[in-house]
Amino acid sequence: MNFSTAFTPEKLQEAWNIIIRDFPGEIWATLYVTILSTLFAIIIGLPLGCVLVAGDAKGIRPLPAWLMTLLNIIINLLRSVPFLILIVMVIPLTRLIIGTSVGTVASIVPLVVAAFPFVARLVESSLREVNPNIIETAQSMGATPMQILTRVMLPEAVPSLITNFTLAITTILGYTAMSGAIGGGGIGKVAITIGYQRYRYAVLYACVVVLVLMVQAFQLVGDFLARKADKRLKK
Amino acid sequence: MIQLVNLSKSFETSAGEVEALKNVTLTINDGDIYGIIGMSGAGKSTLVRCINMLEKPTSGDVVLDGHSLTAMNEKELRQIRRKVTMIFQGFNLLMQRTCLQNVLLPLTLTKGYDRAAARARALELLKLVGLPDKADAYPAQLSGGQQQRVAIARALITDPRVLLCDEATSALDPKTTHQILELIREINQRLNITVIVITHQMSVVQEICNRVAILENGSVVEEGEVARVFTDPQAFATQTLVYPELADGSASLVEDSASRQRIRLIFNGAEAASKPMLARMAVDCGVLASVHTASMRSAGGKTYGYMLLEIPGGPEELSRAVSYLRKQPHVSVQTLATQYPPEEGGVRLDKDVGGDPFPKGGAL
Repeated sequence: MNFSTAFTPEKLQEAWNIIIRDFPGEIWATLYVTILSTLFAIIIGLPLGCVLVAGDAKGIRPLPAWLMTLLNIIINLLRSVPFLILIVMVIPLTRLIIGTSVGTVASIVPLVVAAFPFVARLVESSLREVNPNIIETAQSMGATPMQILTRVMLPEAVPSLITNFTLAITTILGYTAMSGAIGGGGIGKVAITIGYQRYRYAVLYACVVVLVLMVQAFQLVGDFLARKADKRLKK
Repeated sequence: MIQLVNLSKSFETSAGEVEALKNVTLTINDGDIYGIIGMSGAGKSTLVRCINMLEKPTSGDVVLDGHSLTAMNEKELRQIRRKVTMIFQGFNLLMQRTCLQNVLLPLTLTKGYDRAAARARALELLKLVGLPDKADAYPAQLSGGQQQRVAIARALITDPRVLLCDEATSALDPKTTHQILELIREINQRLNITVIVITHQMSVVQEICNRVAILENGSVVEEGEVARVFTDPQAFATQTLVYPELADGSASLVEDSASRQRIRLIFNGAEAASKPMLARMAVDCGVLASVHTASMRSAGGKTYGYMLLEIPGGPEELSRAVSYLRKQPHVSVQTLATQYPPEEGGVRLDKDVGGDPFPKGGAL
């Protein structure tokens, strides 16, 4: 990269034109891909995390050991495949669900596949933080395992779940940049295809700034909601 | 009535099998405030968890009003747990729920409960435990004692027959402990709920229990009326709990002086300790006794304990003091030898030369 030629007035003017033309649409694409992917990842990952905690040998509703081992192996496998390779691996699944394996909408499938095991682990850690004495108390009241999960463990874990979902959404935002590789839209795609591959470094930096601002915004909102939800903090 | 019949419980650990309870047999009558006391590791917590089947006993049975709990399935046990409720050392409230929601929780676990009636009942119970204005507060905004009051209201909302208190006051300061115990006593009397108190503090048993069982290494070593156990502790573990100063040797009676004359007074109840007995002895027979060691407790409105006196002067003063003190009601007197050879390994601290038959338990 040659800095002396990357930021001449002409280059900056050109970058500004690209920003004005592409950014609104691409920011929107990044936002909806991130939010939809996180939502689907939570829809799959939240129940899975609950099963991991409740089905544990010492959990509230122990499940067969082979089943728990199988679940753990699947989650670990999905978590260990690099995202770029995972995108290619799930192409048949993407075709099956979306009808095509290329495009912004299609990039949601690999994102969800990559993120739900991560979300399941986050949910697992949030639920394990719940005071075991409170769970025992619920048992002493005659609560069923399902009631313990829905009336005690999940409500008690809400602030921690919000914090962890914030972590998930910022991580998924980072992954969307890579989905530009299969034609997925978004700021990440602009950074790679225009900023890097066509040597428009000013555009590249603008993309980075936008991504940083988006992560900051998600984090701020997440922290605010977690604090607001937590009744342990004296007000 | 709750009967524990030959209850045993063992756990598999990495260090092998651990027997937490060994053939525990107890009967707890309706209306009792029954204390189960023991040092940590004695098996108290396991025992209380066997009473509501949170722990399944390895053998033996728990019989509640004639129904065997070990024969019940999970569904029936969930019904039993609404009638045998529990409060805990750590209060265990849901921190993300208001006090009112916490109190309502046990009711919300059943289908089709009457919401309005439940709410009214919960508010009534919050009033009963002395927190009428805390319904919408969160537990984090309350003190420990207040949190335990909310937990008590929560334990009462299903109209239980039995309340299990698992070290319910151990995390509280003495003043708050006293207030919570008063509340438990009030609940026992007003709502006619049988209370089982698990504790390691003798003071708690003294304050509210009418019967007590002493648990040591998973076995019941002594059981009976609180007043009887205090006057005449039989088992070594009980003596340790009743007279901790003697058992741990901190109140050494053998330290000095071969020439001093000592008397031990044992208070077996009545108001003996509240009257100025020593002052009157000084006036009536001119013996100015000084107190060397004393440990006095009151249980069930009576005073128990012992006092070790030093009597100045010679044998003449000693016999005057002894004959004066023997006339006092509910007090037994032992004169102690002036030479105290230390004995190995026991709690027998001195030889009894006064002929008083008090130490039947082998020690004391």
